[in-house]
Amino acid sequence: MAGFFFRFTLTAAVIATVGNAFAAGTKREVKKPPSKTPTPSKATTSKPASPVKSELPKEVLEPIKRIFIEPGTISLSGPRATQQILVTAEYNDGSLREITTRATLTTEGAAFTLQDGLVKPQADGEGKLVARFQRHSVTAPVQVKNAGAVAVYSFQSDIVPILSRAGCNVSNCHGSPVGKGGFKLSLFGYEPDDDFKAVVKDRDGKLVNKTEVEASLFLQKPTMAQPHKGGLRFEKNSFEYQVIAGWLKSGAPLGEETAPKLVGMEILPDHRVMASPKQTQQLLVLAKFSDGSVEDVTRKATYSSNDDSIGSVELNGKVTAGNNGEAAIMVRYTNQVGVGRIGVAVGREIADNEFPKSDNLVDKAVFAKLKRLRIAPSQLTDDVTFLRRAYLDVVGMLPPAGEIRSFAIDLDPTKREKLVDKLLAMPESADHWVLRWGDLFRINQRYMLTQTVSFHGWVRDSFVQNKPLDQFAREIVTASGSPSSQPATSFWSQRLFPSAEDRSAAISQLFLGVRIECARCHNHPFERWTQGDFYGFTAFFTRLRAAGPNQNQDVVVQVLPAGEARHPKTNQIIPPTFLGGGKAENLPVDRREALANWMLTRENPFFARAMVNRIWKHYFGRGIVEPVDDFRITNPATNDELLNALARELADHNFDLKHVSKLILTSKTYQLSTLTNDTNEKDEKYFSHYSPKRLLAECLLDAVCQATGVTEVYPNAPAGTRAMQLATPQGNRAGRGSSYFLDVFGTSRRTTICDRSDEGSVPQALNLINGITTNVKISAQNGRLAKLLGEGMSNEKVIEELYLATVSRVPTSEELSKHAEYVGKGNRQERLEDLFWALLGSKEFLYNH
Amino acid sequence: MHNNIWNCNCEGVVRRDFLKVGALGYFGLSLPALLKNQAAQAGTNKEKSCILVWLGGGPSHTDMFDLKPEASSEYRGEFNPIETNVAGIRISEHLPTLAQHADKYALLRSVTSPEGSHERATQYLNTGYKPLPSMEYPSYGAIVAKEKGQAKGVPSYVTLLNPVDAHGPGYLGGEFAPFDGGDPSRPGYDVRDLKPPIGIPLDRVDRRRTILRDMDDAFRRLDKSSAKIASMETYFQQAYDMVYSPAAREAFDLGREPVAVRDAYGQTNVGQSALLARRLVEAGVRFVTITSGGWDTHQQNWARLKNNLLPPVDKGVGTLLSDLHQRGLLDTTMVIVMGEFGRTPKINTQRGGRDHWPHCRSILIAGCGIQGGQVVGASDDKGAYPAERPIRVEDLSATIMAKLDIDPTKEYHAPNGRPVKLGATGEVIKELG
Repeated sequence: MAGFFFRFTLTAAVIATVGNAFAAGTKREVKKPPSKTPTPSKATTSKPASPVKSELPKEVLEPIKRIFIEPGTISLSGPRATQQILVTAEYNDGSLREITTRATLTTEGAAFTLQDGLVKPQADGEGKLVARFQRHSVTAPVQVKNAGAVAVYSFQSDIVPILSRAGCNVSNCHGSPVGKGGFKLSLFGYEPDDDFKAVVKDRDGKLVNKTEVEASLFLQKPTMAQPHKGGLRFEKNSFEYQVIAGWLKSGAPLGEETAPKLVGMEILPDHRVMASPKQTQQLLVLAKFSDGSVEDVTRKATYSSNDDSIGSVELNGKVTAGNNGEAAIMVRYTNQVGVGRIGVAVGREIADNEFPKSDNLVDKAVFAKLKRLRIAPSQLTDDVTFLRRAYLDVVGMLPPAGEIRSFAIDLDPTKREKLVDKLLAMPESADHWVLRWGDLFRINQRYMLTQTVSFHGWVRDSFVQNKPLDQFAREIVTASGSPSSQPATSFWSQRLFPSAEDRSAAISQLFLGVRIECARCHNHPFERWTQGDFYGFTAFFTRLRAAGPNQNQDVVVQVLPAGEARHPKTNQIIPPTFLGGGKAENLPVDRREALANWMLTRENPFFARAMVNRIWKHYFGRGIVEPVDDFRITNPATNDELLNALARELADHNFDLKHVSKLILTSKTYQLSTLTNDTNEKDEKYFSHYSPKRLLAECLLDAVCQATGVTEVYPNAPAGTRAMQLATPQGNRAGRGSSYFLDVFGTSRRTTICDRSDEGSVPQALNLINGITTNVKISAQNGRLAKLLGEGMSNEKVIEELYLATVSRVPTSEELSKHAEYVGKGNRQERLEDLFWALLGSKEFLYNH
Repeated sequence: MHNNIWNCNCEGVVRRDFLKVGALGYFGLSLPALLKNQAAQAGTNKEKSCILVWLGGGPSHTDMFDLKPEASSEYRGEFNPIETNVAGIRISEHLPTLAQHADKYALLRSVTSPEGSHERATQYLNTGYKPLPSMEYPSYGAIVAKEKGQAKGVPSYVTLLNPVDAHGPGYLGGEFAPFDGGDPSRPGYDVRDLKPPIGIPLDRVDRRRTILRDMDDAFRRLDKSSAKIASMETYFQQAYDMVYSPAAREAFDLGREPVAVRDAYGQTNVGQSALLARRLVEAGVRFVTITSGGWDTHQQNWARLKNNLLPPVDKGVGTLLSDLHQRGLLDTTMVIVMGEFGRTPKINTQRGGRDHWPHCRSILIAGCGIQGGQVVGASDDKGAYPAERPIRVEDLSATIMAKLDIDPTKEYHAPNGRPVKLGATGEVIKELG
């Protein structure tokens, strides 16, 4: 099959409809059922008064408008052709529901049979398929041709899909780089020509027996007729077995040289919402060929869900509803990848008055989605909790006691917005971003040597000045010369990026949110990127020389007059090509400028979204796309409308980080409590409640210092530097004191792009129990507790101050009396220290909630 | 895989392996044979563990385990080989203790890799995977800690002396980060955070624990949101186990060893670490990594090896192997001695040493049923490239997993969704038995 060059493509239907259609919701108005509960004046969760509506059959509640069959006409050519059909009911309220197994299906004209939703040819001719449900009926014409012809098999079209579905060609079985048991297949079937050789020709053709077909190892092994370490992959005489047997009997052909090429794939439905518990939806997958023909490949495609708890999918593409939310069902058929977005919205409808009123674009997008998914948001959190949350999220500090007290009693209805403005105006609001970008750029003495502090300083200045993000990115991407003239050149340290490929992978991940790295060695398994795409992007970085830094010189970045990227398999030169776009024209001497010009525009599909996704992740602990820098078709945003609206806002406002931050911080969504209700307690993706976040190591250390009133001194940093402001990782494994604290609480080593951890561990617990950091600060003579005791306060007063200093609230009367009793029973100082210790080790302190 | 039934490692067949036995598992033995062996070994059923002696910098293989006395003076170096207690195997004259115990370990002389930079090679050798900027692979220690679970009162994974970044847990996260055991040869050695500070006796620790528990109970609603938050309690539980139970403190207390034993291991950082490692493994620690530094001998190669580097390792590891053997622990304790790469067979006469050389180097491996007294693979006449049976780092990785009773084909899902096999993609080295 010479010249059969596989490229990953996405169907136009998927590109056009994925994301937009579901985000826009169904086109028709959702008619609200008459409300049986009174509407209270403020948002509360209302309970349904009568039997849960979703448990009654849908038809009882909503009349059916019409039913329809997909596909609308059925054409079968050849004895092996089959067609999966879907019968769907459209209700008056606009919703759609599959009824294939509940409708009465009859055939007219004997040309075909119908069983389990699958149409099979019997004899040439024309007929009709009729579906009836309630008082509706619909007809689909059926045409059968060549039913008596010899069955035609093709390795590519018949066998390769089975190798994927049966799991033969995954990376830990025969798809591994060394194969398994002497049998090697290409990963996920990317190289069907090689696979053909492996199955039919290699090892003297021992795997196939064309005369005594059932004796073929190719059938015996996966059915366990012979020992197979991979276990049973399919049963004897199953569908897969019969196809392989048929192919073997017909001589194990590769397939026709002149067969039409696969050019696209359509998934039906490409988006659907299921409204009943455990409801199911069968998918229908159609392959489209270069001659216009269409083939049903539903039973050949491979399916997987990105969230089984929301929607799980079976081998043949039937999806079952789980928790409310939206699952992306990835469909793969040979070189085609697509996504069906199946939503689950079970339960009562959420009334409008259950959502806080808001004109904020964040709220509009978030609440619209929650309403569609039938998830009610939590209540707004109380003032004192909000104060602590905002302080930590914006400036990485705890609120001072005085401010906690005054904020709590302030009657100004705009006080939260004023707080946000105040915090955003503080220079410390830059610290979080400097820390994050420091992790991403790996600002580390080992890579930047003597220029580490100045590079860090440059990044810090950028955020203190609120430099527009596109300008920030441009200065990094196009930096050349040496750090003395342009500090941003430190980014290109030879120690970080030894090759053009390394630069390419980094810039793509950092600024475009695309992990193109996978495509460096093979076509990306879950996305459309090919090796060609990777090297086309790399070509922007091949005319660059970054020398150093080393002990004799700083890094020097030079633009070269020559240097190309070559495809590793063909060795052809690949010109600079924008990701998902065309070739770059009229290239400047520094190709990176062309890249920057393409990347940093309002219209660029990647940059603004990648940036707002990072901003969102900082505040909510989870990106709208997660992982935060892994945008791909098979990893859709959990709220496209939200992502797009924020990206537009950023792009329309000069890529101003603070502008978007304020929009987010003043939204009602950001103010929601961590306390969940019965509709949203399983939600982790749709922002129906705040999710608690453990304080980052540096933030935590600063908080401990602030709470205890004892600062930390860091080597090589000026006095008064907070941990959040340190330029380079302080960890060294043999570290003592503060650097061990940072290590053990998961600070980033800054050797890989993201190794910061917020997880717990036993050494952390030991450090809290016995470690010197907190214990010394608690009992320090110049510390907070000592000062409070020195001022002659009562136990109760001291306890209150300790609470304010740590968990940023006053104790309840129950807490106060219990603790006061404890203190009264023994050595006052020691017992107050014990209390202080417990507060500093409590979840309420360690977490931002 | 096991062609010699007497070398088959049947001790400590853990339950999950037992489930595999019916399908001949990867021991390749029939069920009756295995049961017979298991009965014979009853009473010594101990979980497998590993001690890794990491020689940071890249130890010179042609001066340690794979000498080339016949090569020209451009390659040969200053050391001579000596006989070991196994006929036909010769190692450096400056490893006399190890020479007396060659029957206990195997030498892999053809381990090859393309990575010649310290950081990349260190990550490669400690994880089995070539490093990627977007993903941090877990070290063997972290994997073993995760797979074996924790023995009560002691950490699962301990590092001694100065661990390198690659000894961390990678994407497995903080739960499997190593416990920092520090340098046991230092006077006044005490393990970080295992004992309460002065002035906080155990009953005060207990009172604090109660206050904290009550506070967190009141704040229980946070637990529902996240498994991570709920798991903090497990860590505190385990931490308190270590604080209250004497197991960890006693294991770390080298003062409990007779002076003669401490001397036998050598009063050096590596020596005392090797002794401590034995104690830790006896107490239930699953993986101990000892990092010996300074092996990057571009200059003064032979002087440094002879005077500073080889003697502590020779005495420490040699005595460790002998000690483990005598205590019947060698069958359940793996010992590995390796660095990130070897060193250039051709001497750098300008600098007076050898430079980085990853294409061929030697690794010492023993224990857990590994057939000692043998050499696997061979290098060419200069020690530059494998002449026979090249061994990849991935193969070593699979072997380490398999010998520790961990399925090398088991997969984790890394945070980016990519499936990652524990044993990398290697093949278990069959010659090791």
